[in-house]
Amino acid sequence: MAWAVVLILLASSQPLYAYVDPSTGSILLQILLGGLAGILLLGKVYWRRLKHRFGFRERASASLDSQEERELPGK
Amino acid sequence: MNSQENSSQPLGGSFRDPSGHVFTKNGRILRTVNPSAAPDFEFVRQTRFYQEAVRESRLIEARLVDNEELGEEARQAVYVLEHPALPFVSYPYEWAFSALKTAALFHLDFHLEALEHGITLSDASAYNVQFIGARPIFIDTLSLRRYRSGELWAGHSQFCEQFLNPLLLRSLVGVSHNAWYRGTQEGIPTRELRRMLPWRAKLSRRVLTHVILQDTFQRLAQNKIDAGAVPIQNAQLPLPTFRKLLTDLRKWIAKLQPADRERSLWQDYAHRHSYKSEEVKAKAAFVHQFVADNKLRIVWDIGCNTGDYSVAALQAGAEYVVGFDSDQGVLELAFARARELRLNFHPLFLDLANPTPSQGWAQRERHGLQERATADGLLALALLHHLCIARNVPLAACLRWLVGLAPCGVIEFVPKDDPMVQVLLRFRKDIFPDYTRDRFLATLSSIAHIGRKAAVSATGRLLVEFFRSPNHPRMVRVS
Repeated sequence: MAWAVVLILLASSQPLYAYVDPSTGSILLQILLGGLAGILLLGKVYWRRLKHRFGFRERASASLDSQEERELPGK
Repeated sequence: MNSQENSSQPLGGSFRDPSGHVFTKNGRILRTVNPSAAPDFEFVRQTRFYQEAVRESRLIEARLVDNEELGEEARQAVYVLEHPALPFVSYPYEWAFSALKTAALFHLDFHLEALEHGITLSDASAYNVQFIGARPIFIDTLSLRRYRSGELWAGHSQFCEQFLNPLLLRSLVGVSHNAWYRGTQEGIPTRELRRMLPWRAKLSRRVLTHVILQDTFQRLAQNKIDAGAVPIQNAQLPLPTFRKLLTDLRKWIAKLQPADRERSLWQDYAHRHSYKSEEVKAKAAFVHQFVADNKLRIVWDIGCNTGDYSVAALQAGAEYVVGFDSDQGVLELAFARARELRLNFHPLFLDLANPTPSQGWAQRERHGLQERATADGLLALALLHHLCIARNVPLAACLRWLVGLAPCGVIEFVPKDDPMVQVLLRFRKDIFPDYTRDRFLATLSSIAHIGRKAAVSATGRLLVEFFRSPNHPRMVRVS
C-alpha cells in the first residue's frame, strides 16, 4: 500500500543536491511523508468545503484555517 | 615532524566533500573553497544567520586569507579560509549519552534556524559538531549552502545513523553507543538497530517512521524495484514537511533518556567511606598549586570521575581541561556540571587500557588519543591501581605511558593496603609484587624529574609531581 502511495506521489522535477548518498530508504520515506502531509492538507480543505456546503460556518477560532483558504487558488 | 610543519598537510576527515578540504600548516587550520562551492559560500556568508552564528560561537569562525598562505594546495581554490584551532577535537564515540544528545539537538536547531534564512545543511555528520566545554559548535562551514525549494533532506539517513540510532540504542535497548560507534565510525546502521529493538518499541510512531519504514523502503529499493524505474531523482519534500520532520525529531530526542538508569559503579564514589573530605581538600590543594605554579593552559584529567579536580585545575588558572573516564554514570554528572556551570571542562568516555585508536581511511581519518596529546600537564589521580591491578598493566608500562602524554603531571600512588585496592584484590591472587611505593618512585624518577610529594591519606596515598625528562619519548602530535 505504502509503496503504491510512494509511486503515485512521485512528481515534478527537483534534482538531488547531495554529495553524501541520502540512501534510497530515506528518500522514499521523505516522499511518503511529504505526500501524506499533502493528502492531509487536501483532505482538510475538502472537508471544510463539504461542511460549508451543508451550511456549517467557520468559527472565529479557525483563523489559521481561513488563512490557508486565502492561499488556495480560485477562492 | 619538522619537515611536515612547513608544508601543508591535508586533515584526516575532510576528503569526502568535494566543496573544499582542510589542511594544517604551521599549526594553522586552513580550508579551501572549491569553484563548485564558491557561489553557495558567498551566499551563506552574507546572511544574518551566518554572522550571528559565528558571533555566538555556534559556528566556527572562518577568516578569508590570501590563497598564497596555503601555497600549492590552493591552486584550484576560489577562497582559502582560516579557522581558529579548537582546544581539543573529540569524536562521537568518545561522547557521553548526554553529549551526543546535546549535539543532536544542536544540529536540528541549527538546521531549523538555517532554513529560516534559506540555508540548508548538505549532510548530517556528527563529526561536524565539536565541543568547547559542554557547548556544541558547528565546524564545517561548507556544509552550509543555499536551500533549493522542494529539495529533500539529504542528511536524513546520516542523521539517523550518526545521532538518532546511537541514542535509541541506549534509551530503548540500554546499550551504550561508544564501542559500536567506534567500530563502524559512521554510527549505528538502521537495519541493525531494527533487529535489536524490542517489539514494544516498534509500536511507536516515530520508531516506525525513522527505523522500520526507512529500513523497509531501503530493502524494497534494493530487492524488489529496478532502481531505474523509480524516478527518485525528481522527488520533492515541501518545506513545511521538512521543518515538521526536524521539529518532530527534536521533540523526540529531547525526551530520550538512558534505559539503564541504575546508579553506576562510580557515581557516588566520591561520597563513599573510603574517601575522607580532608583527603579531597588536600588533593584539590595539591592540584591547585601544581597548575598555578606551572601556569598550565591545557590539562588532561585522566580518570576524571565527576570532575572535582578538573574544577580545581580551572580554578587555579587552567584555560581548558579535558577529562577522561570509562564510567557512563559519572560522565553524565561531569557533563551536566560542565554545562550548568559553563566550565571549559570537556569530559569524554575512554577506556584507558584501550584508548581511542587512529582509524578510518588509511588510518588517518580520525586520530587516536596519543595523536591528539596536546596537554601541557596531566592529572592521574586514583588511577594507577585500576590500570595496574584491575587490568594487569605493569606499573612501569603505566608510568611510561602517562609520562609520554604530557610534559608534566600529578600521579597518585594508592598503596596495596588501601581499602580500594583491597576491593580489587578481594577475589584474586596478588600477583603484583612490583606494585610498591618504592618501585613507583624509582621507576618514575628514572624517566622524569620528581617535584613535590604529599601523603594525602592515613592509608598512605601519595601524590607526586613529575616533569618529563627531555629524552623520554613523547606521544606523536599530528596537528
